[in-house]
Amino acid sequence: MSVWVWTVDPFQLLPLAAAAGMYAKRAHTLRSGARPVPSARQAAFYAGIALLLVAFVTPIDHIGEERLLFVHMIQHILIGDLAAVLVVVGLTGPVLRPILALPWVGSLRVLAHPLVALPLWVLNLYLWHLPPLYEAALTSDPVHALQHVLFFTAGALMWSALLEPLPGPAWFGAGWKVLYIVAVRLFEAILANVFIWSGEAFYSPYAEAPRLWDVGAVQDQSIGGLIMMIEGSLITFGAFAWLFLRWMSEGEARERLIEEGMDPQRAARAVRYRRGDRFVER
Amino acid sequence: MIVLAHASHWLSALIYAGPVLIVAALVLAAAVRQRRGADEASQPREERER
Repeated sequence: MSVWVWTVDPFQLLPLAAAAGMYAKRAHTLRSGARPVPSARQAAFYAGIALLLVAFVTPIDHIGEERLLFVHMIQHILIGDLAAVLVVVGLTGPVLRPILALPWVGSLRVLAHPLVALPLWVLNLYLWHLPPLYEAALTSDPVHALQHVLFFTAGALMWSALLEPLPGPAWFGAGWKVLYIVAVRLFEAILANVFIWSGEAFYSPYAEAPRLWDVGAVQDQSIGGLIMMIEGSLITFGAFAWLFLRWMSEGEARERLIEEGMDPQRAARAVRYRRGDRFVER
Repeated sequence: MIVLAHASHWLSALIYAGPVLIVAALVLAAAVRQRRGADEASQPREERER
């Protein structure tokens, strides 16, 4: 049987279509107001949804689940890291405001606090790679669905703490963000190295699966670790570049506000929460 | 080869759809709340105080 199987599961695709539809409606509502969603952010959101489609529909899903761990790793990186960061980039305060205004929903914002989001992400990442849980995901559809949903959720929360679609804690400035990025990559690199250098296959379904493309089980696992490592390095580079650019632009905006006569502390706060432009316009 | 996966397991379907269903319910609740707020704001003051 060919391994190039495309999977079309309505219960994976309909939620994605619904999410894209709700986002499109909210962006449409905001387009004529004071704070429309920038086109680049909208594009990022839809790109995130497209990556989830790639992860669920293309042969990555079938090969990853049935034959090769490194392909499964690619799927998890798409879901838990790349799609998650793109979706978070697409979210802005005004997009989320109506939901967060609901009395008991606003309190969930604590999940995007860096000191909550980071431990949750690390815990989720490590627990799912323990052999009993990983093998359970390979053999049970509901557990696999839960794994995917939690990878995406924990990834989105981890990126929300850094990218702050909603205002984060005042102390979490550029310096702490650098440390946060380093911590994220450190935890990921440790796990990646375990996969790269281990001399034995951790997950029996892959060890027992018929070999594909002459990739041995241990080699398969090492490639999986390598993919995790390379993707982590690239995204870390991107995150640092973003942080540097933002730090530069915040510095300029702060200077501008102080020159216009604003109190330095107030200027720092305005810039920190990206309200600098509105103050300048006044 | 395209496989039209049937809803593999009702629980998997619920897990995949659950988060989006929750968001949809919240969006609906927010819309109702907003409309109620707008209705209350449009009522004359004496009527609201009554």
